[in-house]
Amino acid sequence: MSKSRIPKINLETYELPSDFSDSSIDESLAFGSSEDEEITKYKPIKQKKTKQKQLSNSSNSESESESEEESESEEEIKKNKNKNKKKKKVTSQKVVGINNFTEVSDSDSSESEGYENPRKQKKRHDNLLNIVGSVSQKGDKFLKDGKKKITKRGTVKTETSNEGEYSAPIRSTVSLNSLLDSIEGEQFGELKRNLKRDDEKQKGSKKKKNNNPINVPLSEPAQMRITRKVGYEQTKEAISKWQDIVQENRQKKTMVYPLEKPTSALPTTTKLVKEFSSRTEMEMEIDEILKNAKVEDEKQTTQEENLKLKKNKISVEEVWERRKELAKIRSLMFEEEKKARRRKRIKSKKFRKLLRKEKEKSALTLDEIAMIDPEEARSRIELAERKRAIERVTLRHKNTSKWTKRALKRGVKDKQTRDAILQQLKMGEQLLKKIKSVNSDDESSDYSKSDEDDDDNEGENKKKNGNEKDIGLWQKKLNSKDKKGLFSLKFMQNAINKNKDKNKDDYQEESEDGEEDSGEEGSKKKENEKEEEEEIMGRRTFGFNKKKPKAFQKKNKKKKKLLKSNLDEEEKENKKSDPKKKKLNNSDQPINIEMENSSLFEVEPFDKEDEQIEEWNIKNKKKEQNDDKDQKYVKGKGKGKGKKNEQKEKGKGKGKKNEKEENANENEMGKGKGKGKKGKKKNEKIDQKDKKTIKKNKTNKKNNKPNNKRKKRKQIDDSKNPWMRGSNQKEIKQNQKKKRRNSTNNEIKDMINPKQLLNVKKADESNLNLKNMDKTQKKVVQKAFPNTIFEEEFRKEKDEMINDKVEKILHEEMKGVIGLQGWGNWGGKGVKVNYKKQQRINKIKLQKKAKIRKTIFKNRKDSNLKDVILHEGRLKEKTKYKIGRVPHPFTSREQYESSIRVPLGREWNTETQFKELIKPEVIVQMGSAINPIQYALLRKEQLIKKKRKQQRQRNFLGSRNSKSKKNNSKKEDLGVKVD
Amino acid sequence: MDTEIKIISRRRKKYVRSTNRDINIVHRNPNPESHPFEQAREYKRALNSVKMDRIFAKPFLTAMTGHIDGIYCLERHPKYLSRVVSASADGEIRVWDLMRRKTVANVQAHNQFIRGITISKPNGNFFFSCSDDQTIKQWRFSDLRSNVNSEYQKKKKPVSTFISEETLRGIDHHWSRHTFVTSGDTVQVWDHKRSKPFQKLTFGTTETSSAIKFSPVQKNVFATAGSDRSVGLYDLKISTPIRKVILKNQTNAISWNPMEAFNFTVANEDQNCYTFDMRRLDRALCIHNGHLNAVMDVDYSPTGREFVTASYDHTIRIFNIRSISSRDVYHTRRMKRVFVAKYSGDSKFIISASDDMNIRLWKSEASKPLLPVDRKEKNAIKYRESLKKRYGYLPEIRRISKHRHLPRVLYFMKQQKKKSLQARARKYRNMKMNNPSSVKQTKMRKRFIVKQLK
Repeated sequence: MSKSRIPKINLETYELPSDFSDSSIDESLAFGSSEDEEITKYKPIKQKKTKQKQLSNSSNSESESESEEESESEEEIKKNKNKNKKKKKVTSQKVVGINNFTEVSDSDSSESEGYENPRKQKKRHDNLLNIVGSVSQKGDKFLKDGKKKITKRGTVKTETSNEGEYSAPIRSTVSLNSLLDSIEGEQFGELKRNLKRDDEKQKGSKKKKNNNPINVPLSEPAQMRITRKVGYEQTKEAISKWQDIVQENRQKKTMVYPLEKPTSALPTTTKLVKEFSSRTEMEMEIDEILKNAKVEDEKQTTQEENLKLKKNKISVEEVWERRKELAKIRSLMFEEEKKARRRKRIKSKKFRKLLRKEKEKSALTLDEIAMIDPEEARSRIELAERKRAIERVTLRHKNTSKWTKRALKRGVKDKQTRDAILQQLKMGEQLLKKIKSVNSDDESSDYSKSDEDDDDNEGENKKKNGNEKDIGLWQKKLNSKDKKGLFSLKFMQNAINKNKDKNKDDYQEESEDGEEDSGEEGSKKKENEKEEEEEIMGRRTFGFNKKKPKAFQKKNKKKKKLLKSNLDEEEKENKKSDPKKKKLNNSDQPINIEMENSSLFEVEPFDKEDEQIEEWNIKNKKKEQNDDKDQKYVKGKGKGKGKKNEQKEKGKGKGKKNEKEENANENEMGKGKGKGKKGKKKNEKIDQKDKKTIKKNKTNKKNNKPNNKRKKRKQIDDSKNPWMRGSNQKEIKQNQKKKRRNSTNNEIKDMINPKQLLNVKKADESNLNLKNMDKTQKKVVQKAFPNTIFEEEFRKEKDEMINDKVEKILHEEMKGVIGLQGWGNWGGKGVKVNYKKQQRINKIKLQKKAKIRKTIFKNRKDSNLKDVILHEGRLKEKTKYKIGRVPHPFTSREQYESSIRVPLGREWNTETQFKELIKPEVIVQMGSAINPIQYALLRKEQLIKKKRKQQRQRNFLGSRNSKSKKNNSKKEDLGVKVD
Repeated sequence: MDTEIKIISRRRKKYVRSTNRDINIVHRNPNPESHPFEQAREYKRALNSVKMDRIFAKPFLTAMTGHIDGIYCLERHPKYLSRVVSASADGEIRVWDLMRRKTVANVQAHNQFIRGITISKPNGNFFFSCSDDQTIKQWRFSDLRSNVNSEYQKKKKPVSTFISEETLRGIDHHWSRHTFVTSGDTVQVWDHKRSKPFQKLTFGTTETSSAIKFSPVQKNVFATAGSDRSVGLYDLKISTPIRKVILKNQTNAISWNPMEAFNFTVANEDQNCYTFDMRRLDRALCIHNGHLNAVMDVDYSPTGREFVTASYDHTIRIFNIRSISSRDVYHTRRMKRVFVAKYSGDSKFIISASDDMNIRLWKSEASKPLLPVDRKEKNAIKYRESLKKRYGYLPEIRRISKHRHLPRVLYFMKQQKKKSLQARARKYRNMKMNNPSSVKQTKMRKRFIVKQLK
């Protein structure tokens, strides 16, 4: 029974992995590892993986041996057991331990057994025993109490010695009992006890059945559970070593990644070669080529190269020939070099000129270049254009340079400098004039003719002019096709278009004038026009001003028509307006217009102040002088509008509508053309503008002679003047009305421009100034009589606040008294009001009010503070700066607030502080892969730190000691005793 | 009359240092009276910087095309920042160069769905792919070249092929040894040099695990996500599974924190991510919510401070490891369901792969400049950053910094989700009020855990 049970136990306690099948394990290993077993079995966690394996192996093998034992005959086991019983406990316990050695002795003894006589045998046997004894003493390291065992071992040996090599199976010496006895451990106590009990039972009463079976072993899943549990605990423990590190890193203010510092030691070449693997595409390609060529070793390649060199044998003659050749070439080169050097040194201007000319002759023209390489041509054109632009901007060749200035200051005495200056000027002119060459070829050719006398520049000029022509041509070509480079830029295109337009206009003008005017007048007019044109051209053409002159020129028929229609509309509208208007028109027309304008931006009108108006009138006169300049210039365009004519108009204009006059003006313009002479005269007087304009202005004022252009100008100017507005109240009102009507008028729309807006703003500012003045006055009053106005206001405010609250509460409370509205009373017409009730209610109301007021006063914190209003409620404006609760990492409000208190910026901190304060939490070095944290690395760092610290301490101590020694010696020298 | 003329004059000496080594002269008036309202001013600056952040937030860098099927696997190289390997559902593997933004090499590796890719860890010379065809193939990077040469096309063969007896759902390589693990019916442990797995680990239950991930710090530990909604932990040192937690929904991906050994985050089907401490699995350290559909992937930044998640809702989100809501959300009109999102090795970029066959490259910080910046600008950025941090709790700043535009559909989904969550909370509250015994009080962080199997 026991026999069948024993193996079972083994099988269950030492679980065999299902997938495991290893037969090549010898017994000795299985037995010898009994100690290991103990450990592995009871503390399997502490074993490493390899040991675990061993465990499984050993357990496996043991179970195997056990099963073998099972197959052994029953008798044998019994015998063994009996024998064991007879022996003392000590011996039986330690049998297993020396088992190996008995085996050895067995084999030794058995060898001699069959061949030698018994005496000799015995002698030898004794010797052997001695040897074995000594060996077993050594082997006692496995056992704890050695000496006793040696003595007892003799008995064991005698027993085994009788058995021969073949007669005594080794296993017979090892019984299960003895095996179990050898095991020391509390865990197996029960098992042992059970076994003993079994034995006793077997010995004493075999018939009795075993009532106490061994505990049922755990099921596989349960076992797994245990291992898992233990495993988890273990890994938990292992992983917890990171706890401190993690905590530390979390609390660090800044972390710099990657954690490992770059190694300072450079890798060796061999290491580099070893680690090298082709990564980039090029490397791979090279690798591939090398592989294809089957060239892998450096040695091999050198050998091959050597071989090749050996093959290429050259004869001596050949070498000589080659040498000669080389020498010839060298000498030629030397000669050439010499020549070049000499030529370089020549200072003659003439020579240089000749050289240059030669070069130019040989150089290709633009056309040719274009034929060959259009891109190149384009770039050249661009270059030339750029040069011109630069010249235009910098005016480098005008007498602006330091050198010329100085030269001019000193007085140009020698011819050379004068020539140089002249030449420079010429260059500048050339460069500037080149613009014309783009559009008109004639001029450039003229220019070249005039320049012919100059010998030095002649060729150049020709060439350049030629180039210019080319450029003009090419520009056209390029413009027609695709626009690239500088011409593709928007402003360049605009300029070109403008030029075109201008040319067109000019052409039209000429043609028209040619029809209308005759002879000298026409030609002179042309000149004037040109002047005007130049005025219009330039910077003023940008923005809103650009179109105005054209509009007033009225040479474009279309525009003329448009304008006419506009004017007609205006007229119609004005006709509809009140008859009062006529009167209005008698008054100051400019002011009238101005008012119109001011109302457009809706600036508040001021009170009439005569003085101011007068002042303004003076100012206005001055301004109008300026205005009239423009006026004149407009008139200039109005061609031949004579003075007399003008005056006539003025006369007519009296008492008439503005617009009509305008119309008349327009009509007269046509007439004026006929009277060109006078107009011409007038135009000639442009230079003496100022005086006349003043006069004219006066007449203008009286005669109320508006002009389209002038009107606008005035609007602009007058809007600057804030005082203007107060000049005529009635007019303001009327004009506002008028404005409403005319709001859709195109002309007014036209008038809006940024300048005006700006001016209005200015007016606003002045407006504010006035108010500010009041404020300052207020302040003065305040200073003079403190605590009068403001105290009252403050009190009022506070009172209102309280009253509001009272009203609110009262309203709520009165609901209970009155009940729902519309209930408890009769409604409708003719119902008598219950005055008594009303009175009662009022009484209650008053009472309640007083009560509430009292309570509020009581509750308010500022009720006792006279000059304070405390807001106890939520202020909406301040919610922006309030946090609902203390944010996460902070524990209290104070903590959070203190964290905010110190500002971070440069204004409040020193540079170093600032840098420290703005340090980011995480710094990642550029372009480096961040590896996961490594324990070994950290340990290393820690150790290094520790070492350093120690060393520092040592150094410190050392230095101190030496110092103290020195001090001592010093003191001794001084004769002071030191304890 | 005497007139006083005031002239603005600057002496060069006063503001230009004489030598290069001279200290920079800082023109600062230290008088505090000349710098009043410091808090108000800094608040305003913080506000402006937050606004600027929003203005300059342009995280999307590029989309890389090449695959002709949805991309389900993506792995970055441990050493080289610009190298990335991706695998699509049709069995094609592509190696990408992020710098040049193009494919460096490609192979038709398998005939079936590729379930996982992993790169051999210490050196990264090889990568492994496992597929539905029950094979694992080992590839050498240098064998795959894009310059198409007939010889090399032939050479595009795996270094070795491992045949598994079980289905394969995921693969991950050990961080220092020549071993890798595959997930499937059981967890198999393989060696480079052995054709058969030298270990098989199970909990004894019949679940298939999908995601599998080694811990980069405690290298013998790895985690799997099982089909029984579980997250399992294994230890290779003692070669046993050690613990399992069953959640309410299935887990799609796992990522370990590379700087905090015991923490890992799990991407769940229930639109949330959960960060666990390996030592206490009965509750989550943090619940990260924000996605509006299943979270498909999660990957830690190598700094261990943030992680990125990819979701079925067509977006990527970036979370701080300790915050509930996401720091940022990325989406483009053409990006469909995102299956993988990975941080780059230097934590500056995010690589995502989605159903629309594209790999996308994002900046991990949307408004940070990519090019090297001037010292002054750097300081200004740092200053702004610290101001933002300081005043970040104030409502206006928080609102602006948190404000993100979502696609219309997602926006409405979000509203809906909010409503439903509110309704649930209300119901819970009511139940608690009316019948307290019927309500089990559990903390939020424990609510999603069904049980822990020991």
